[in-house]
This record gives sequence, structure tokens and C-alpha cells, in this order.
Amino acid sequence: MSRFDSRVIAVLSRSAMLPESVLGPDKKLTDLGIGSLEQIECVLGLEDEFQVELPDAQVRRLKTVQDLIDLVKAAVAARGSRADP
Amino acid sequence: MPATDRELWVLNFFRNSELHGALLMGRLARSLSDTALLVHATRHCATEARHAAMLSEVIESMGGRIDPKVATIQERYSTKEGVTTALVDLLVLSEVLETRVLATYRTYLERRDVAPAARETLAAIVSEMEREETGEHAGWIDEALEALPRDAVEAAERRWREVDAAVVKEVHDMVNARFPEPETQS
Repeated sequence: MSRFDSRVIAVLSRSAMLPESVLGPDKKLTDLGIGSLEQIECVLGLEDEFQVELPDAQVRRLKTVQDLIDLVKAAVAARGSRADP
Repeated sequence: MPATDRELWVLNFFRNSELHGALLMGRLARSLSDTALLVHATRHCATEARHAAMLSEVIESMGGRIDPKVATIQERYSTKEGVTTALVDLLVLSEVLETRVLATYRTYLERRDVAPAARETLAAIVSEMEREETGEHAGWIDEALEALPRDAVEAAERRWREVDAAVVKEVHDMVNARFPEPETQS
């Protein structure tokens, strides 16, 4: 797991109060018992951690831990390209 | 009158939903930057947390078990529409929910079989909510929404009202199927 992925997992772990060891990339958020409140806490926490805005339309479609990692990666990449001259 | 399983489930549903609302508003109160908005959001959080505490105490006083696993109305909204973190959605959702909660508590109090302790608690919550409707914090969500794009607000209102109507019907049908009313109930 990359350092980037680990940072996302760490935020999810804190938000959902679950050990990082259970947050495998293929795990479904609902199967982990992660409800809407924990997802909101996680998304806002990730926005703070990575200084990005996660698009609401895509947040609504999140299903797995990997989806979350991919969403943050895309937002960070988009921020980087916007910052380019 | 002993507490029925139906009433205890309903009180747990109310309790968990109030707590969910408080935690959500509390999260909002950690993210916003406008001071006036932060005052209102923090107060809203405290009010809903107090309602959750009152409902917790009444469930315990009735000899019931507090079940944190009873899904909240907000979880049911999210199951239908997905999770949102957009301010416009969170504010509209709070407003739709306030209206729904007040109407639900009032309707519940019209039943003849509400346990006295539950009736007293719910009546106290309704009175407080009615006072809030005209108090110094009334209309703070409307004011906050006025600062946001009108079309986004209207779209969110349409969407969440539709979700609300569907969820209310779903919960009503589920409760009636799980806890059928006695035939003598009028």
C-alpha cells in the first residue's frame, strides 16, 4: 500500500472508529458498518487532510474503500493540474 | 401500562435520529467559517443532543433497552439519495428534517396508547421546538440558504422533499409490518 493510500485509510479509520487492518481496498463501506455520518466525517476529514474538495456527485456514488482512495487521488491530481501555469 | 416493543422501537428511532442530527450539526459547526452561522449550528447541535438525552432517559425509565443500531431517518435518506457533504444539501436536509420531526412527534402524540412518560417527554420536546420556531434562532437556516445560489437551493429542496416523502412511507410501512397494531386499536 502506498503512503498516499495509507493516509486515506488513516482518515477513514479515525472517522469510522475502525482499525486500519479491516479497511481493505475491496471492502464495501456498508459492509464495514460505515454509515452516512461516518462517511461525512471522513469526506470532510479528507478534504482537510489533502486540501481538496471532493465533488458531491462522486461522494454520493462511493461504494468501496478503493473508491474513496481513487476519488481523493483524482481530486489531488486535479488540484495539481489547476495549479500548473 | 407496560411499554410495548413497538413504542420502544419508535422511541429508539426518535432518539437515534435526534443524536444523528446533533452529530451532523456538530460536524458542520466544526467546518463553517461564518461566526453567526457557527453560533446557530452549535446551538442546533446542543438542542438535538438534549432531545436525544431526554429520549434516552425516558426509554430507560420505561424499562426499555436503548438500541443504537436502530437506523436513523438520516441513514434512510442517505440510502435513497447517497451521502452528501454539500452545504446547501446539509442545510436543506436539516430544514426538511425539522419539519418532519415536529409533524411526526405531533402525530405520535395524537395516539391514545402512548405511555405517560413518553408522552410527557415528547410533549416537552414539541413545546421546545415550537418555541424555537419563533425564538431568536428561528429562520437561521433560511437566512443561510439565502446566501447560496437560488437554483441550487430549489433543486436541493425538491430532491430532499421527495426523499423525505418516500422514507416516511417506507418507515411507516415497516413499523406496521413489524409491529402490527392490535385489532382493538382505533
